[in-house]
Amino acid sequence: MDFILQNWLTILIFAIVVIWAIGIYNKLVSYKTQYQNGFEQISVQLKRRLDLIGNLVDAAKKYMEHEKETLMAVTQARSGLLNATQAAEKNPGDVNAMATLATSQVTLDSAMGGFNLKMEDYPDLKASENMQQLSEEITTTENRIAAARQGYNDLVQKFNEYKKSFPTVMLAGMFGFGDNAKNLEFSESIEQLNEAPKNLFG
Amino acid sequence: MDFREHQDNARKNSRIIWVLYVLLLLFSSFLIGWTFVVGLNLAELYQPGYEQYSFWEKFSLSNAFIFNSNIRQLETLAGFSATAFIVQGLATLIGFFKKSNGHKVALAFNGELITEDNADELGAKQALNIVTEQALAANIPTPSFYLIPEEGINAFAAGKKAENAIVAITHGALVHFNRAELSGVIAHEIGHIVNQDIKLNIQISAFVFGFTALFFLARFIFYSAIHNRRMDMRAKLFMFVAAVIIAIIGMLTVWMGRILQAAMSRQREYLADASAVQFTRYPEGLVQAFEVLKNGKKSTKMENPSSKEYAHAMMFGIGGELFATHPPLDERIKRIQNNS
Repeated sequence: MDFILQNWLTILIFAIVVIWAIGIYNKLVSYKTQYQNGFEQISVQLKRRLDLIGNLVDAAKKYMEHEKETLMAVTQARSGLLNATQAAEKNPGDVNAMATLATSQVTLDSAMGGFNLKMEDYPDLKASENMQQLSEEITTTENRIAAARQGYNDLVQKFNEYKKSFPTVMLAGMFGFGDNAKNLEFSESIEQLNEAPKNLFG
Repeated sequence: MDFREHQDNARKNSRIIWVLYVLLLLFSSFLIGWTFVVGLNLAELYQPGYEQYSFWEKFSLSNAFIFNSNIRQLETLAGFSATAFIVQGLATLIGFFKKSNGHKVALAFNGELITEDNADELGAKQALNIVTEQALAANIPTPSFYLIPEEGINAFAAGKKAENAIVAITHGALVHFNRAELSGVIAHEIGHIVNQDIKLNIQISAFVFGFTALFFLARFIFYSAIHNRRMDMRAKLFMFVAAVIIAIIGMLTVWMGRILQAAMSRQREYLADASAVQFTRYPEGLVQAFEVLKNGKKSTKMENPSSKEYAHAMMFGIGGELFATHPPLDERIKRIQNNS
C-alpha cells in the first residue's frame, strides 16, 4: 500500500501511457480491418461484372453467330480474370497476385474492346431495349469497380498515414503492423483501361 | 483540386467557428449577469439620499461596487451569469439530442423512395446506380434514394446517422443533369453524410435556439414584474428595463449566432465540394453541374414550404438571403478548378 502511495505519480503516468497505447493499437486494428473490407468490396463488384459480361455474351450470341472468335476471346479473358481474382483474394498483400489481377483485367478490357468493334456491325443488337438496359448496367458496374478501388486506396492511405505518423510509428512495428498496406496499381497502360468501357457502346 | 488540403482547411475553419460560438455563449451569459447586478445596484442608488449624484456617477459607482473585490457582489454576478449560461445550455442540449430521421425529411417533401423494384425509367435507374457508386467510393453503406417531385434543380442529404441517411434529388435535377454532372452532385451529398454535416447543423441550430431562450427569459421577467402586486413601482421599472435589455442582448446574440451558422454552413459546402472531387476524382462533373445552373438560368427554387427550414442542407442556395447558407457558385467553381 505504501508503495502505491509513495509512487502514485509514476503509477499514474504509467497507467496513462498504457491506456494511450491501447488506443493506438485499437485504431490500427480498426483501420486495417477497414481496408481489408475495402478490398472485399472490389471483389464483389468484379464478380458482378463477370456475371454481367456473361449475360452480354449470351445476348450477343444470337445475333453474332459468325463472330465466334471474338466471343471466344471474351469468354476466355473472363475465366482468366475469375481465377486471378480468387488468387488475389487469398493473398491481398501479395504483389504478384495483384499484378496478375491487373493484367487479367487489361486482357478482359481489350477483349471487350474487340467485341465492341464488332457490335458496330450489328445495329439491331445495339438498338435493342435489352442492350440499352445492359449498357447502363455495364456502365454502372465499371463505375462501381472504379469506386470500390478508389475507396480501397483511400482506406489504405488512411491506414498508412496513421501508421507512419508520430507517435504511432514507434509502436506499430511492435504491435505487428509492420507492413504498409498496398495501393492498387496497374502497371499496364492506364489509358487502355480507361478507354475500353467508354467505347463499349459507341 | 488538392481536395485533401481544401478539406483540412474547411475543418480548421469549422473548429474556429465552434470556438466563436462558445465564446459568444460565455460572453452573453456574462453580459446578462452583469446587467442584473448593475441594475440592482442602481436600484439601491436611486433610493433617497443619493440625489446629488448624476446617472453616470451612479452607473460607474454600481460597477465599482462589483469589481472592487466585493465578494458578495461577485457571487451574485457569478450566480446570474451561471443561470443565464445554464438556461441557454439546456436549450442547446435539447437540440443536441434531437433525433432526425432522414426518411421523414424526404417524405416531408413528398419524396418517392426509389428502389431496384420501382426504378422503371432509365434516368431513375441511373440515379440509383450513381448513389451506389458514390457510396462505394466513400466507404459507407448505400443511403436510401428519394426523388422529389419539384421542377427546381436541387438535392439534399438527410439523416443523423449513416444507417438512416438518405440522398434526395429533385425531378428537375434528374432531367437537367447528365450522368457526370449528377455524379458530382450526388457525391457532394454523400460528402455531407460522410462529414456528419447533418448532425453538425442540428447542433448549431440548437445553439441558436439556446440564444433564443434569452427572449423567453426576458418575457418571463417582464410579465412577472408587471403582475407582481407587492412590488413597488420603482422595482417594477427596473424589472421592465432589465427585461428590455436582456431582450436586446438576446436579439444581438441570435443575430450573431445566425451569422456564425451561415458561415459554418458555407464552410461545410466547400468541404462537401472537396469530398465530391475525392469520390468522383472527376472535378469537371461538378463544375459542369454548376455551369448548368449559372448559364441556363434554371431555378433552384423549391415550392414546398418545408424547404426554408432545410435551406442549409440543400445543394444550392434557394433564396437571396442576407445570411447566405451557400457560397456563390463562381467561388465554388474557382476552388474546384484551382490547381486542377
